[in-house]
Amino acid sequence: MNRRIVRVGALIALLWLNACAVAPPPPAPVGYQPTDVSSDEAGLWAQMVKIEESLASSPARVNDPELQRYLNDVSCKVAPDYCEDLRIYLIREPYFNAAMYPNGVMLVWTGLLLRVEDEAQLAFVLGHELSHFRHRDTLARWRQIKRTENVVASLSVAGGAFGAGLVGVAGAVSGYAALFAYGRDLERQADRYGLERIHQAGYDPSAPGRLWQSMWEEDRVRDKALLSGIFATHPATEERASELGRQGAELGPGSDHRSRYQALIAPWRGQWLDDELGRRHYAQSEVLLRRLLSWPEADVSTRYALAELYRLRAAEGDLQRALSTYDEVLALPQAPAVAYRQRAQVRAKLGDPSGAAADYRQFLRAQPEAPEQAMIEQLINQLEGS
Amino acid sequence: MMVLRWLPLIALFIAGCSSNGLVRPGSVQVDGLQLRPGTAWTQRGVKGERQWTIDGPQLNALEIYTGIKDGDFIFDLDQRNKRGEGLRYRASMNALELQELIVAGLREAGAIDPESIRLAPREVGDLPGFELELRFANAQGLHYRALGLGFVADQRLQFLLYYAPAEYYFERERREIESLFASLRWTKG
Repeated sequence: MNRRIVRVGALIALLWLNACAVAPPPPAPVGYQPTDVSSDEAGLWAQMVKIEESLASSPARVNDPELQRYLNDVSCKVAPDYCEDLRIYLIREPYFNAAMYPNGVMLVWTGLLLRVEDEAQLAFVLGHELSHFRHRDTLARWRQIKRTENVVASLSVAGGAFGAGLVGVAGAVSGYAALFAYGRDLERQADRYGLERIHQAGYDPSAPGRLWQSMWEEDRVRDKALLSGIFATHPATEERASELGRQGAELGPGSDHRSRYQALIAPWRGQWLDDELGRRHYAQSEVLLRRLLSWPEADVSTRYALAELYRLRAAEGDLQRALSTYDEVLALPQAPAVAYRQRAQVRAKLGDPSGAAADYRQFLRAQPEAPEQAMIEQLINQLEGS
Repeated sequence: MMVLRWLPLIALFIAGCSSNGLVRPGSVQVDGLQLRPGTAWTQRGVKGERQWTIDGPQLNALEIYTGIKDGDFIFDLDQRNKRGEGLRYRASMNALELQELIVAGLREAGAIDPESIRLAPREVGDLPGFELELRFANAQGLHYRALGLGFVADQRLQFLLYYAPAEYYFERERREIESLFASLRWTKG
C-alpha cells in the first residue's frame, strides 16, 4: 500500500517537474562571469560569494597546503582550460560528497578522499563536478526551484543554518548542496563528461566504475533513516556503476597514480576514520573498512578503526571480535596507546577485570596526563575491587 | 534533508516549544531534576530537552537532557524513539563511552573539532556520575568551552551541558554553572 502511494506520488512529482521544465542555459565559456547584474544568475553568484567568504575562513575547512596544492593540480590536469575558474575547498566532513557551486567553488569532503582509491577516481569526481559548472546546471536547477518550489523556504532552510551558533559551515553548505541536487539526466551527462575528461588527461577510465561500485556496496547496507551524504544527491545504483564500468572499458587503459594519492592521504586516514566512526553508521562503515583493509596500503589506523567499530556497535559477537582485533593492533609497532584504553573497556565487559585494569594502567603509563585520568583511576579501583 | 542533522541543537530555537519563560533564582524542578540557579535564566524547550540561556543561546546555553533511555539518540529528541544506527545511548556505557558519545554528538551537530579536556567522577546526590569539560569551535571559528554533568537514574541518562564562547562568556558564568551543578539532585522516582 505504502509502496503504491510512493509510486503514484513519484509519478505525479515527475509529471509536475516536467511540466515546469526550464530550458538549460548555454554552457559557460572559460572565464565566464554573469555580466548582467540584474539577472537571477548574478544574484545567485552574489550569494555564493558570501558563502565562499565564510568557507575561506571556516575551521571546517582543511587548510593543509600540500593537500590543497594536490587537489588544485589534479583539477587543473582534468580541466586545464577551466583551471583559473575553479576553486576547491576541502571540508572536514565524514560523508562522501562533492558539490559544485555556480561561481566556480567546488567543495570536496574528507569522507570522499577517505573512500577514493587513487588519483584517477578523484580526477573523475572533479571532472564530474566540472560538468555541472560548465553546463551551468546549478543555474538551471535554481530556475527550476524558483518555478516549482518555495524559494524563500528553501533558502531559509539552507541558509538559516549559518545563523545558529553551533552549526558547522558544512550545515549551510550541505543545505545549498541539497538545493542543487540534479536529475538523473544531468548526472549521466556529468558522468560522461567526467569520464571523457579523465581519459583526455591520461587517467584510467575504468576507475570511475570501480568507485561507483564501491559506493553502491555501501549504499546497499546503509541505514536509510540516517543522513547519506552523496547518496541524497548522487544516487549510487548498480546501473550507474555498471554503465560507468562499461563506458570506461571501451576507452582503454590509463594511469591511476595510486601510490601518489595513497601517500598523500596516509597521514590523514586515522583522523578521517575517527570522523567516519563518529557517525555510528556501522553497516556502511564496516563495508568501507573491509574495503580499505583489502588495499595494500592498509595500515594500523584502519585495523584500529575496525576494532573500534566492533566495540562501538557491540552487537552479538562484536566484543570478542573487537578484542581479537585490538590484540592484532597492539602487536604492531605503530599501535596507538589509546588502543589499551579501548581494549580495557572490552575486557571489562567480557568479564576480565584484571586484564581490563592492566590495560588501563598501560594506557596511563603511556599517557599520564590523559584528560580522563581521574575517571580511569576510579575504573581501575572498581575493577580491582570486583 | 541534510539540515536535519542540526535540528537537535537548533530545535529549541524554533516553534513548538511548550515551556518557555523565566527561571527565577531559587529552587527549580525540571523534568525530575532539582536545581538551584543563582541568577535568572530564560527557558525554552520541551520535557526531555530544554535549553536555558541568559544572553541568548549563542552566548551561553545550558542544555538539559533528561530521560534518555537505552537505544535513544543522545541529543535528538525527534529521533529518540526511532530505532536503528546512529548516536545512541546504551545502558551498558561507562563514563568513557558516554564522553565519546557526547563528543561525537557535538561533531554531528556541527561543532568543529570538539574535544574533551577533562573527565572525572562526580556524584549527584548519592548517585554516581561524571563531569566533563570540552572545547570546540563553531562554523565562524568562534571558540567555545563547555561543562557537562551526567548521571544515570531510573535506568535513564540525565545530562546537562553548558556551553559559551571561551572568551568572556564561559568564564563569566562558570561559577553560576558550578553552583548549579552542585545543587543538582534527582527527585523523580
